[in-house]
Amino acid sequence: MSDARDDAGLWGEVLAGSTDAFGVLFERHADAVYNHCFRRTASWAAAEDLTSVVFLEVWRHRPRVRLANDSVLPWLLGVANNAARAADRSSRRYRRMVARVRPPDAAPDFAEDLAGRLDDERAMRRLLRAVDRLAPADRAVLSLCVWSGLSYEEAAVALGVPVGTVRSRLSRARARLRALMPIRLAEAVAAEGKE
Amino acid sequence: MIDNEVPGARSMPAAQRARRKAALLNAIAPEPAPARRWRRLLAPVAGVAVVLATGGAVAYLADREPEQREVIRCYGVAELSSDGFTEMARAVPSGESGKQEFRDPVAACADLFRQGFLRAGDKQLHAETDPSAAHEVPPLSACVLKSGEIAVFPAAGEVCRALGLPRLAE
Repeated sequence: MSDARDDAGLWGEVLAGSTDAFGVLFERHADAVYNHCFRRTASWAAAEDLTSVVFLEVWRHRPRVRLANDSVLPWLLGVANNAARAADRSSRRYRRMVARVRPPDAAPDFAEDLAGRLDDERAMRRLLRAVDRLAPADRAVLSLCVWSGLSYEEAAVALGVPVGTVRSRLSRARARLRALMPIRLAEAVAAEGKE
Repeated sequence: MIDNEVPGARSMPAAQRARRKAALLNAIAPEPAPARRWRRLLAPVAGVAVVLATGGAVAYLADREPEQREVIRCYGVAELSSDGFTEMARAVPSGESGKQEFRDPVAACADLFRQGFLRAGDKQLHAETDPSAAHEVPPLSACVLKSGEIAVFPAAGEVCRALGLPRLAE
């Protein structure tokens, strides 16, 4: 059953140390974080680990969290962007964090939609090959605003930058992608065929 | 366009999600309360006493209203250091503002000490915390910085004036 309390109310309880309230926020936002992490990594398994890591990081640093439009989701997605970068680096710290929050039987069981998820991963890898040509900051804005649907204001909170910066980065990302896409997609499709 | 080619959203499988949630809540569960750190607690108070004893005349400063109550600073030490505090906010207004104000900033900062994020006499913001509300909370005083921001220090009495700051108006 869904909880009627809004994020701001729950966050007040989290700041007072309530793990129950944090559990409600996990239920509410885990899927959004999970999908965002998938779009950054092109791996459903990595997205699952990252989702846990994001919530652990947010809990550990909860006094620093800023809500946007009374929602904690933008902040979660901002942390997800950073966590996805750390995962890219396979840092020791990231591995320690994963070990803390990974359940004992964590092997993903996608039996029902395995084929669909594999298709997703292929498609996302192809997209990321093009998007990886963008500057990291532009990529972050693109993923938040275009793929995860945050407003400019929410993305600004997630990234800790002014709204104008979000606008200009997104505009630059779109322009660059328009220039890159025909070539990049052709390359990506060719590369996909060789896998 | 690239945004139309992103695969559709999927839910985390229910069983995995339940296991993930349980593991997360286990990882953040409260631990036994640590031993009290009286020495750390007393250090900043003693520091303020020295300032008061040796500072001579302390200029009179009228209590002041803050510029805003949405973001406050909680200091771990009773001094105006550039890195000895953490800023807290309940919400970032984007459109309408003022709904998530700190009506009781001392209580809000007390929560950080109680959970172990801040420890009296220690500038560091600790990440490994204990939400069981068992850590020692020092006496706290709310002052107002020149910027108009509320700053709460781990000391009692005249700490605001000792630091050259007005107290937060009641």
